Amino acid sequence: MGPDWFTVIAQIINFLILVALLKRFLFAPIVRAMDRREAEIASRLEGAARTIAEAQQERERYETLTRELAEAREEMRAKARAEADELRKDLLEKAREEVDRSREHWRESFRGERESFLRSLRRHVCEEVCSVARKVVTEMADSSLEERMAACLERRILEMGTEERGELSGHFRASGREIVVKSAFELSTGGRTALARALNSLTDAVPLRFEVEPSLVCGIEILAGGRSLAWNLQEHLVDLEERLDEALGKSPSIPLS
Amino acid sequence: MELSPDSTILWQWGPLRLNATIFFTWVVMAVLSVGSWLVTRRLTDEGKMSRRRNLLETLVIFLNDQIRATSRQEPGRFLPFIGTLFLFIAVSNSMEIIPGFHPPTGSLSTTAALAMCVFIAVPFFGVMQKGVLGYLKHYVKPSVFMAPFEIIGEFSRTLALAVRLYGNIMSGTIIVGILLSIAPLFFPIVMQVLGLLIGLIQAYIFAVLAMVYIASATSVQKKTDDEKRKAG
Repeated sequence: MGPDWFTVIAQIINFLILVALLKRFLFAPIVRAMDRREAEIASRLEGAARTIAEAQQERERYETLTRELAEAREEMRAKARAEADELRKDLLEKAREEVDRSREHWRESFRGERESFLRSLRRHVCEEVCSVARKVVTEMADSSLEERMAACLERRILEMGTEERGELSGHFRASGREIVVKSAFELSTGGRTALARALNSLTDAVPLRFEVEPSLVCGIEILAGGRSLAWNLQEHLVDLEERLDEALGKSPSIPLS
Repeated sequence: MELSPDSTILWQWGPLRLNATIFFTWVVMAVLSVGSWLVTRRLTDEGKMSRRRNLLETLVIFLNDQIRATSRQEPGRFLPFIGTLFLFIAVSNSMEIIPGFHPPTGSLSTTAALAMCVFIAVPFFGVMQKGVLGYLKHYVKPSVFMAPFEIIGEFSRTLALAVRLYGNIMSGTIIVGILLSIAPLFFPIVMQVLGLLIGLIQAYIFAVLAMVYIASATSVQKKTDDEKRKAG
Protein backbone atom coordinates (compact mmCIF):
# COMPACT_ATOMS: atom_id res chain seq x y z
CA MET A 1 0.00 0.00 0.00
CA GLY A 2 2.83 2.42 0.78
CA PRO A 3 4.74 4.35 -1.80
CA ASP A 4 7.53 2.71 -3.76
CA TRP A 5 10.40 5.07 -3.11
CA PHE A 6 12.18 4.17 -6.33
CA THR A 7 9.01 5.06 -8.19
CA VAL A 8 8.64 8.22 -6.14
CA ILE A 9 12.10 9.40 -7.08
CA ALA A 10 11.56 8.39 -10.68
CA GLN A 11 8.27 10.28 -10.75
CA ILE A 12 9.88 13.36 -9.24
CA ILE A 13 12.49 13.26 -11.98
CA ASN A 14 9.78 12.59 -14.56
CA PHE A 15 7.77 15.50 -13.29
CA LEU A 16 10.70 17.87 -13.37
CA ILE A 17 11.50 16.74 -16.90
CA LEU A 18 7.85 17.31 -17.83
CA VAL A 19 8.00 20.80 -16.31
CA ALA A 20 11.03 21.55 -18.46
CA LEU A 21 9.46 20.04 -21.57
CA LEU A 22 6.17 21.88 -21.20
CA LYS A 23 7.97 25.08 -20.41
CA ARG A 24 10.01 24.62 -23.57
CA PHE A 25 7.25 23.46 -25.90
CA LEU A 26 4.07 24.85 -24.44
CA PHE A 27 4.13 27.68 -21.96
CA ALA A 28 7.03 29.73 -23.24
CA PRO A 29 5.98 29.74 -26.94
CA ILE A 30 2.33 30.30 -26.15
CA VAL A 31 3.06 33.11 -23.70
CA ARG A 32 5.49 34.68 -26.16
CA ALA A 33 2.94 34.45 -28.92
CA MET A 34 0.27 35.94 -26.68
CA ASP A 35 2.58 38.75 -25.64
CA ARG A 36 3.45 39.43 -29.26
CA ARG A 37 -0.20 39.44 -30.19
CA GLU A 38 -1.08 41.69 -27.28
CA ALA A 39 1.70 44.05 -28.28
CA GLU A 40 0.47 43.94 -31.85
CA ILE A 41 -3.11 44.52 -30.73
CA ALA A 42 -1.94 47.39 -28.54
CA SER A 43 0.00 48.83 -31.44
CA ARG A 44 -2.97 48.33 -33.75
CA LEU A 45 -5.24 49.94 -31.19
CA GLU A 46 -2.81 52.79 -30.90
CA GLY A 47 -2.68 53.03 -34.67
CA ALA A 48 -6.44 52.82 -34.82
CA ALA A 49 -6.72 55.55 -32.19
CA ARG A 50 -4.28 57.64 -34.19
CA THR A 51 -6.20 56.93 -37.36
CA ILE A 52 -9.45 57.79 -35.60
CA ALA A 53 -7.93 61.01 -34.34
CA GLU A 54 -6.70 61.82 -37.85
CA ALA A 55 -10.07 60.86 -39.26
CA GLN A 56 -11.72 63.06 -36.67
CA GLN A 57 -9.48 65.94 -37.69
CA GLU A 58 -10.18 65.25 -41.33
CA ARG A 59 -13.89 65.09 -40.59
CA GLU A 60 -13.74 68.39 -38.74
CA ARG A 61 -11.76 69.88 -41.59
CA TYR A 62 -14.25 68.63 -44.14
CA GLU A 63 -17.14 69.77 -42.00
CA THR A 64 -15.58 73.20 -41.85
CA LEU A 65 -14.99 73.14 -45.59
CA THR A 66 -18.52 71.96 -46.23
CA ARG A 67 -19.89 74.66 -43.97
CA GLU A 68 -17.78 77.29 -45.68
CA LEU A 69 -18.82 75.95 -49.05
CA ALA A 70 -22.46 76.06 -48.04
CA GLU A 71 -22.05 79.59 -46.75
CA ALA A 72 -20.24 80.63 -49.92
CA ARG A 73 -22.89 78.97 -52.03
CA GLU A 74 -25.61 80.69 -50.05
CA GLU A 75 -23.80 83.97 -50.37
CA MET A 76 -23.32 83.48 -54.11
CA ARG A 77 -26.93 82.48 -54.48
CA ALA A 78 -28.06 85.57 -52.59
CA LYS A 79 -25.72 87.70 -54.67
CA ALA A 80 -26.93 86.08 -57.87
CA ARG A 81 -30.51 86.55 -56.76
CA ALA A 82 -29.85 90.20 -55.97
CA GLU A 83 -28.11 90.65 -59.31
CA ALA A 84 -30.93 88.85 -61.07
CA ASP A 85 -33.46 91.07 -59.30
CA GLU A 86 -31.43 94.10 -60.25
CA LEU A 87 -31.13 92.91 -63.81
CA ARG A 88 -34.82 92.11 -63.95
CA LYS A 89 -35.64 95.56 -62.65
CA ASP A 90 -33.25 97.09 -65.18
CA LEU A 91 -34.69 95.06 -68.00
CA LEU A 92 -38.22 95.84 -66.90
CA GLU A 93 -37.31 99.49 -66.66
CA LYS A 94 -35.67 99.40 -70.05
CA ALA A 95 -38.58 97.47 -71.51
CA ARG A 96 -40.97 99.93 -69.95
CA GLU A 97 -38.93 102.82 -71.29
CA GLU A 98 -38.77 101.12 -74.65
CA VAL A 99 -42.50 100.59 -74.62
CA ASP A 100 -43.04 104.17 -73.52
CA ARG A 101 -40.68 105.35 -76.19
CA SER A 102 -42.33 103.18 -78.79
CA ARG A 103 -45.71 104.34 -77.64
CA GLU A 104 -44.56 107.93 -77.68
CA HIS A 105 -42.99 107.39 -81.05
CA TRP A 106 -46.13 105.76 -82.27
CA ARG A 107 -48.19 108.59 -80.80
CA GLU A 108 -45.91 111.11 -82.42
CA SER A 109 -46.12 109.26 -85.64
CA PHE A 110 -49.84 108.92 -85.29
CA ARG A 111 -50.18 112.52 -84.27
CA GLY A 112 -48.03 113.55 -87.20
CA GLU A 113 -50.02 111.40 -89.53
CA ARG A 114 -53.22 112.79 -88.09
CA GLU A 115 -51.92 116.31 -88.32
CA SER A 116 -50.80 115.62 -91.81
CA PHE A 117 -54.10 114.09 -92.64
CA LEU A 118 -56.03 116.92 -91.00
CA ARG A 119 -53.83 119.46 -92.64
CA SER A 120 -54.36 117.81 -95.94
CA LEU A 121 -58.06 117.58 -95.21
CA ARG A 122 -58.16 121.18 -94.16
CA ARG A 123 -56.31 122.21 -97.20
CA HIS A 124 -58.55 120.23 -99.41
CA VAL A 125 -61.69 121.51 -97.67
CA CYS A 126 -60.42 125.04 -97.77
CA GLU A 127 -59.41 124.71 -101.32
CA GLU A 128 -62.71 123.17 -102.23
CA VAL A 129 -64.73 125.71 -100.25
CA CYS A 130 -62.63 128.57 -101.55
CA SER A 131 -62.79 127.16 -105.00
CA VAL A 132 -66.56 126.97 -104.78
CA ALA A 133 -66.74 130.45 -103.26
CA ARG A 134 -64.29 131.76 -105.78
CA LYS A 135 -66.22 130.18 -108.54
CA VAL A 136 -69.47 131.61 -107.24
CA VAL A 137 -67.99 135.03 -106.69
CA THR A 138 -66.18 134.96 -110.02
CA GLU A 139 -69.34 134.01 -111.75
CA MET A 140 -71.30 136.65 -109.91
CA ALA A 141 -68.62 139.36 -109.89
CA ASP A 142 -68.74 142.28 -112.24
CA SER A 143 -67.72 145.95 -112.22
CA SER A 144 -70.68 146.95 -110.17
CA LEU A 145 -69.53 144.61 -107.45
CA GLU A 146 -66.13 146.20 -107.70
CA GLU A 147 -67.78 149.53 -107.20
CA ARG A 148 -69.54 148.21 -104.12
CA MET A 149 -66.22 147.01 -102.91
CA ALA A 150 -64.61 150.35 -103.52
CA ALA A 151 -67.43 151.99 -101.64
CA CYS A 152 -67.00 149.49 -98.86
CA LEU A 153 -63.28 150.15 -98.72
CA GLU A 154 -63.93 153.90 -98.72
CA ARG A 155 -66.31 153.48 -95.79
CA ARG A 156 -63.78 151.41 -93.91
CA ILE A 157 -61.11 154.04 -94.42
CA LEU A 158 -63.43 156.75 -93.34
CA GLU A 159 -64.61 154.79 -90.31
CA MET A 160 -61.08 154.13 -89.08
CA GLY A 161 -60.15 155.48 -85.68
CA THR A 162 -58.05 158.61 -85.44
CA GLU A 163 -55.04 156.75 -84.25
CA GLU A 164 -55.20 154.20 -87.03
CA ARG A 165 -55.78 156.90 -89.60
CA GLY A 166 -52.84 158.89 -88.35
CA GLU A 167 -50.60 155.88 -88.46
CA LEU A 168 -51.75 154.98 -91.96
CA SER A 169 -51.36 158.56 -93.29
CA GLY A 170 -47.94 158.79 -91.71
CA HIS A 171 -47.01 155.63 -93.40
CA PHE A 172 -48.23 156.85 -96.79
CA ARG A 173 -46.35 160.07 -96.42
CA ALA A 174 -43.20 158.34 -95.36
CA SER A 175 -43.24 156.15 -98.43
CA GLY A 176 -43.23 159.21 -100.63
CA ARG A 177 -43.94 157.21 -103.70
CA GLU A 178 -47.11 156.37 -105.48
CA ILE A 179 -49.96 154.41 -104.01
CA VAL A 180 -50.88 151.29 -106.02
CA VAL A 181 -54.51 150.26 -106.05
CA LYS A 182 -54.95 146.67 -107.26
CA SER A 183 -58.27 145.17 -108.25
CA ALA A 184 -59.43 141.99 -109.89
CA PHE A 185 -61.34 143.91 -112.56
CA GLU A 186 -60.88 147.26 -114.10
CA LEU A 187 -62.39 149.73 -111.62
CA SER A 188 -65.10 152.07 -112.82
CA THR A 189 -64.65 155.78 -112.62
CA GLY A 190 -67.01 156.01 -109.68
CA GLY A 191 -65.04 153.39 -107.79
CA ARG A 192 -61.78 155.14 -108.61
CA THR A 193 -63.18 158.44 -107.47
CA ALA A 194 -64.50 157.01 -104.25
CA LEU A 195 -61.13 155.44 -103.45
CA ALA A 196 -59.25 158.61 -104.40
CA ARG A 197 -61.53 160.60 -102.13
CA ALA A 198 -60.95 158.26 -99.26
CA LEU A 199 -57.20 158.20 -99.75
CA ASN A 200 -57.00 161.93 -100.14
CA SER A 201 -58.62 162.27 -96.75
CA LEU A 202 -55.55 160.48 -95.34
CA THR A 203 -52.81 162.07 -97.31
CA ASP A 204 -52.30 164.63 -100.06
CA ALA A 205 -50.23 164.81 -103.21
CA VAL A 206 -49.53 161.15 -103.58
CA PRO A 207 -50.20 159.87 -107.08
CA LEU A 208 -52.49 156.89 -107.41
CA ARG A 209 -51.94 154.09 -109.89
CA PHE A 210 -54.65 151.54 -110.63
CA GLU A 211 -53.75 147.99 -111.63
CA VAL A 212 -55.71 144.86 -112.44
CA GLU A 213 -54.74 141.77 -110.38
CA PRO A 214 -56.86 138.69 -111.18
CA SER A 215 -55.40 136.71 -108.27
CA LEU A 216 -57.37 138.89 -105.90
CA VAL A 217 -60.46 136.95 -107.02
CA CYS A 218 -62.79 139.70 -106.09
CA GLY A 219 -61.57 142.75 -104.17
CA ILE A 220 -59.36 145.79 -103.97
CA GLU A 221 -55.92 146.16 -102.40
CA ILE A 222 -54.11 149.43 -101.71
CA LEU A 223 -50.30 149.11 -101.48
CA ALA A 224 -48.00 151.90 -100.29
CA GLY A 225 -44.40 151.47 -99.10
CA GLY A 226 -44.77 147.84 -98.07
CA ARG A 227 -48.06 148.50 -96.20
CA SER A 228 -51.31 147.25 -97.71
CA LEU A 229 -54.93 148.00 -97.07
CA ALA A 230 -57.36 145.66 -98.73
CA TRP A 231 -60.83 144.53 -99.00
CA ASN A 232 -61.22 141.47 -101.10
CA LEU A 233 -62.82 138.13 -101.01
CA GLN A 234 -59.44 136.51 -100.61
CA GLU A 235 -59.31 137.91 -97.12
CA HIS A 236 -62.68 136.48 -96.27
CA LEU A 237 -61.75 133.24 -97.86
CA VAL A 238 -58.59 133.07 -95.74
CA ASP A 239 -60.70 133.91 -92.75
CA LEU A 240 -63.10 131.16 -93.72
CA GLU A 241 -60.19 128.83 -94.13
CA GLU A 242 -58.92 129.73 -90.68
CA ARG A 243 -62.27 129.09 -89.08
CA LEU A 244 -62.65 125.85 -90.92
CA ASP A 245 -59.22 124.94 -89.77
CA GLU A 246 -60.11 125.76 -86.21
CA ALA A 247 -63.37 123.88 -86.40
CA LEU A 248 -61.69 120.78 -87.80
CA GLY A 249 -58.86 121.04 -85.23
CA LYS A 250 -61.40 120.91 -82.43
CA SER A 251 -62.98 117.78 -83.81
CA PRO A 252 -62.86 114.87 -81.33
CA SER A 253 -59.50 113.20 -81.63
CA ILE A 254 -59.10 109.52 -82.24
CA PRO A 255 -57.96 107.71 -79.05
CA LEU A 256 -54.31 106.83 -79.27
CA SER A 257 -54.22 103.80 -77.13
CA MET B 1 -7.18 -6.82 -7.93
CA GLU B 2 -4.16 -4.58 -7.75
CA LEU B 3 -4.65 -1.33 -5.92
CA SER B 4 -1.57 0.37 -7.43
CA PRO B 5 0.06 0.17 -10.85
CA ASP B 6 3.41 0.21 -9.01
CA SER B 7 3.15 -3.50 -8.53
CA THR B 8 2.85 -4.16 -12.25
CA ILE B 9 6.44 -4.64 -13.37
CA LEU B 10 6.86 -4.34 -17.10
CA TRP B 11 10.64 -4.59 -17.32
CA GLN B 12 13.43 -5.03 -14.80
CA TRP B 13 17.19 -4.74 -15.03
CA GLY B 14 18.90 -5.13 -11.71
CA PRO B 15 17.58 -2.60 -9.23
CA LEU B 16 16.01 -0.63 -12.07
CA ARG B 17 12.51 -1.69 -12.79
CA LEU B 18 9.97 -0.21 -15.14
CA ASN B 19 6.56 -0.47 -13.58
CA ALA B 20 3.19 0.58 -15.02
CA THR B 21 3.23 3.86 -13.10
CA ILE B 22 6.44 5.07 -14.71
CA PHE B 23 5.46 3.72 -18.11
CA PHE B 24 2.08 5.43 -18.15
CA THR B 25 3.71 8.58 -16.82
CA TRP B 26 5.98 8.51 -19.83
CA VAL B 27 2.94 8.03 -22.03
CA VAL B 28 1.30 11.10 -20.52
CA MET B 29 4.53 13.05 -20.81
CA ALA B 30 4.84 12.01 -24.45
CA VAL B 31 1.24 12.99 -25.17
CA LEU B 32 1.68 16.40 -23.55
CA SER B 33 5.10 17.14 -25.00
CA VAL B 34 4.43 15.94 -28.54
CA GLY B 35 0.99 17.53 -28.54
CA SER B 36 2.46 20.86 -27.42
CA TRP B 37 5.30 20.61 -29.90
CA LEU B 38 2.92 19.89 -32.76
CA VAL B 39 0.88 22.96 -31.93
CA THR B 40 3.68 25.37 -31.14
CA ARG B 41 6.28 24.36 -33.73
CA ARG B 42 4.93 26.83 -36.28
CA LEU B 43 3.52 29.73 -34.38
CA THR B 44 2.90 32.70 -36.60
CA ASP B 45 1.23 35.93 -35.76
CA GLU B 46 -0.41 36.15 -39.14
CA GLY B 47 -3.42 34.39 -40.51
CA LYS B 48 -6.13 32.58 -38.72
CA MET B 49 -5.31 30.83 -35.44
CA SER B 50 -5.71 27.05 -35.41
CA ARG B 51 -8.23 25.47 -33.07
CA ARG B 52 -5.54 23.59 -31.16
CA ARG B 53 -3.55 26.75 -30.62
CA ASN B 54 -6.70 28.48 -29.52
CA LEU B 55 -7.33 25.66 -27.04
CA LEU B 56 -3.80 25.93 -25.62
CA GLU B 57 -4.04 29.70 -25.35
CA THR B 58 -7.38 29.40 -23.59
CA LEU B 59 -5.80 26.91 -21.20
CA VAL B 60 -2.84 29.18 -20.52
CA ILE B 61 -5.10 32.17 -19.97
CA PHE B 62 -7.25 30.10 -17.61
CA LEU B 63 -4.20 29.00 -15.65
CA ASN B 64 -2.83 32.53 -15.53
CA ASP B 65 -6.17 33.85 -14.26
CA GLN B 66 -6.35 31.17 -11.59
CA ILE B 67 -2.79 31.82 -10.44
CA ARG B 68 -3.39 35.55 -10.40
CA ALA B 69 -6.65 35.18 -8.50
CA THR B 70 -5.08 32.84 -5.93
CA SER B 71 -1.73 34.49 -5.38
CA ARG B 72 -2.56 38.11 -6.31
CA GLN B 73 0.82 38.12 -8.03
CA GLU B 74 1.97 38.04 -11.60
CA PRO B 75 1.65 34.42 -12.80
CA GLY B 76 4.74 34.30 -15.02
CA ARG B 77 7.10 32.57 -12.56
CA PHE B 78 4.56 30.05 -11.32
CA LEU B 79 2.95 29.12 -14.61
CA PRO B 80 5.32 26.30 -15.69
CA PHE B 81 5.16 24.55 -12.32
CA ILE B 82 1.47 24.99 -11.55
CA GLY B 83 0.46 24.52 -15.18
CA THR B 84 2.43 21.30 -15.49
CA LEU B 85 0.89 19.98 -12.27
CA PHE B 86 -2.60 20.71 -13.53
CA LEU B 87 -2.04 19.37 -17.04
CA PHE B 88 -0.26 16.23 -15.88
CA ILE B 89 -2.92 15.31 -13.34
CA ALA B 90 -5.84 16.30 -15.62
CA VAL B 91 -4.48 14.36 -18.63
CA SER B 92 -3.60 11.36 -16.48
CA ASN B 93 -7.05 11.30 -14.95
CA SER B 94 -8.79 11.86 -18.28
CA MET B 95 -6.90 9.03 -19.99
CA GLU B 96 -8.40 6.73 -17.41
CA ILE B 97 -11.24 6.03 -19.85
CA ILE B 98 -8.81 4.41 -22.30
CA PRO B 99 -9.03 0.65 -21.80
CA GLY B 100 -5.82 -0.78 -20.36
CA PHE B 101 -4.57 2.63 -19.21
CA HIS B 102 -3.74 2.95 -15.56
CA PRO B 103 -3.58 6.57 -14.48
CA PRO B 104 -0.24 7.28 -12.76
CA THR B 105 -2.11 9.49 -10.33
CA GLY B 106 -3.78 6.34 -8.98
CA SER B 107 -0.41 5.42 -7.53
CA LEU B 108 0.51 6.76 -4.12
CA SER B 109 4.11 6.95 -5.35
CA THR B 110 3.14 9.45 -8.04
CA THR B 111 0.96 11.59 -5.80
CA ALA B 112 3.65 11.47 -3.13
CA ALA B 113 6.19 12.56 -5.71
CA LEU B 114 3.97 15.45 -6.81
CA ALA B 115 3.30 16.44 -3.20
CA MET B 116 6.99 16.36 -2.48
CA CYS B 117 7.58 18.58 -5.48
CA VAL B 118 5.11 21.05 -3.99
CA PHE B 119 6.75 20.60 -0.61
CA ILE B 120 10.06 21.60 -2.16
CA ALA B 121 8.58 24.28 -4.40
CA VAL B 122 7.08 26.22 -1.50
CA PRO B 123 10.39 27.04 0.18
CA PHE B 124 12.07 27.24 -3.23
CA PHE B 125 9.86 30.12 -4.40
CA GLY B 126 9.92 31.64 -0.89
CA VAL B 127 13.72 31.55 -0.71
CA MET B 128 13.97 32.87 -4.28
CA GLN B 129 12.04 35.90 -3.20
CA LYS B 130 13.46 36.76 0.21
CA GLY B 131 16.44 34.58 0.88
CA VAL B 132 16.86 31.71 3.31
CA LEU B 133 16.69 33.69 6.54
CA GLY B 134 13.82 35.76 5.39
CA TYR B 135 11.92 32.64 4.46
CA LEU B 136 12.70 30.88 7.73
CA LYS B 137 11.51 33.89 9.72
CA HIS B 138 7.92 33.16 8.92
CA TYR B 139 8.16 29.94 10.94
CA VAL B 140 8.77 31.93 14.14
CA LYS B 141 5.99 34.42 13.55
CA PRO B 142 4.09 35.50 15.50
CA SER B 143 5.94 33.45 18.14
CA VAL B 144 8.79 31.01 18.17
CA PHE B 145 6.47 28.51 19.79
CA MET B 146 4.53 28.33 16.56
CA ALA B 147 7.52 26.90 14.68
CA PRO B 148 6.76 23.22 15.48
CA PHE B 149 3.19 23.64 14.40
CA GLU B 150 4.26 25.35 11.20
CA ILE B 151 6.66 22.52 10.41
CA ILE B 152 4.03 19.90 11.24
CA GLY B 153 1.62 21.86 9.02
CA GLU B 154 4.09 21.73 6.14
CA PHE B 155 4.34 17.98 6.36
CA SER B 156 0.72 17.30 7.03
CA ARG B 157 -0.50 19.34 4.11
CA THR B 158 1.98 17.59 1.83
CA LEU B 159 0.70 14.30 3.08
CA ALA B 160 -2.87 15.48 2.62
CA LEU B 161 -2.13 16.54 -0.94
CA ALA B 162 -0.68 13.16 -1.79
CA VAL B 163 -3.33 11.10 -0.11
CA ARG B 164 -6.27 13.22 -1.35
CA LEU B 165 -5.34 12.78 -5.01
CA TYR B 166 -4.32 9.18 -4.62
CA GLY B 167 -7.49 8.31 -2.71
CA ASN B 168 -9.82 9.94 -5.17
CA ILE B 169 -8.26 8.47 -8.30
CA MET B 170 -7.53 5.09 -6.81
CA SER B 171 -11.05 4.83 -5.43
CA GLY B 172 -12.54 5.77 -8.77
CA THR B 173 -10.51 3.08 -10.51
CA ILE B 174 -11.36 0.54 -7.81
CA ILE B 175 -15.06 1.41 -7.94
CA VAL B 176 -15.16 0.97 -11.71
CA GLY B 177 -13.31 -2.35 -11.33
CA ILE B 178 -15.73 -3.59 -8.72
CA LEU B 179 -18.77 -2.43 -10.67
CA LEU B 180 -17.49 -4.16 -13.79
CA SER B 181 -17.58 -7.43 -11.91
CA ILE B 182 -21.06 -6.75 -10.47
CA ALA B 183 -22.94 -4.86 -13.21
CA PRO B 184 -20.79 -5.04 -16.32
CA LEU B 185 -23.07 -3.24 -18.80
CA PHE B 186 -23.98 0.42 -18.38
CA PHE B 187 -23.35 1.41 -14.81
CA PRO B 188 -19.53 1.47 -15.04
CA ILE B 189 -19.82 3.96 -17.90
CA VAL B 190 -21.74 6.36 -15.70
CA MET B 191 -19.17 5.89 -13.01
CA GLN B 192 -16.39 6.52 -15.50
CA VAL B 193 -18.02 9.78 -16.54
CA LEU B 194 -18.21 10.70 -12.89
CA GLY B 195 -14.58 9.61 -12.57
CA LEU B 196 -13.61 12.01 -15.38
CA LEU B 197 -15.32 14.87 -13.59
CA ILE B 198 -13.70 13.94 -10.29
CA GLY B 199 -10.33 13.64 -12.04
CA LEU B 200 -10.55 17.16 -13.47
CA ILE B 201 -11.76 18.56 -10.16
CA GLN B 202 -8.88 16.86 -8.36
CA ALA B 203 -6.40 18.28 -10.84
CA TYR B 204 -7.83 21.72 -10.26
CA ILE B 205 -7.81 21.26 -6.46
CA PHE B 206 -4.21 19.98 -6.45
CA ALA B 207 -2.98 22.87 -8.60
CA VAL B 208 -4.88 25.52 -6.66
CA LEU B 209 -3.73 24.15 -3.29
CA ALA B 210 -0.15 24.09 -4.53
CA MET B 211 -0.54 27.69 -5.62
CA VAL B 212 -2.08 28.62 -2.28
CA TYR B 213 0.87 27.09 -0.42
CA ILE B 214 3.39 28.84 -2.65
CA ALA B 215 1.44 32.10 -2.41
CA SER B 216 1.42 31.88 1.38
CA ALA B 217 5.22 31.70 1.34
CA THR B 218 5.61 34.54 -1.17
CA SER B 219 2.93 36.75 0.39
CA VAL B 220 4.94 36.66 3.63
CA GLN B 221 7.78 38.12 1.66
CA LYS B 222 5.48 40.73 0.27
CA LYS B 223 4.26 41.67 3.70
CA THR B 224 7.87 41.91 4.90
CA ASP B 225 8.65 44.24 2.02
CA ASP B 226 5.69 46.41 2.98
CA GLU B 227 6.93 46.53 6.56
CA LYS B 228 10.42 47.46 5.42
CA ARG B 229 9.01 50.20 3.25
CA LYS B 230 7.01 51.54 6.18
CA ALA B 231 10.06 51.37 8.48
CA GLY B 232 12.23 53.04 5.87
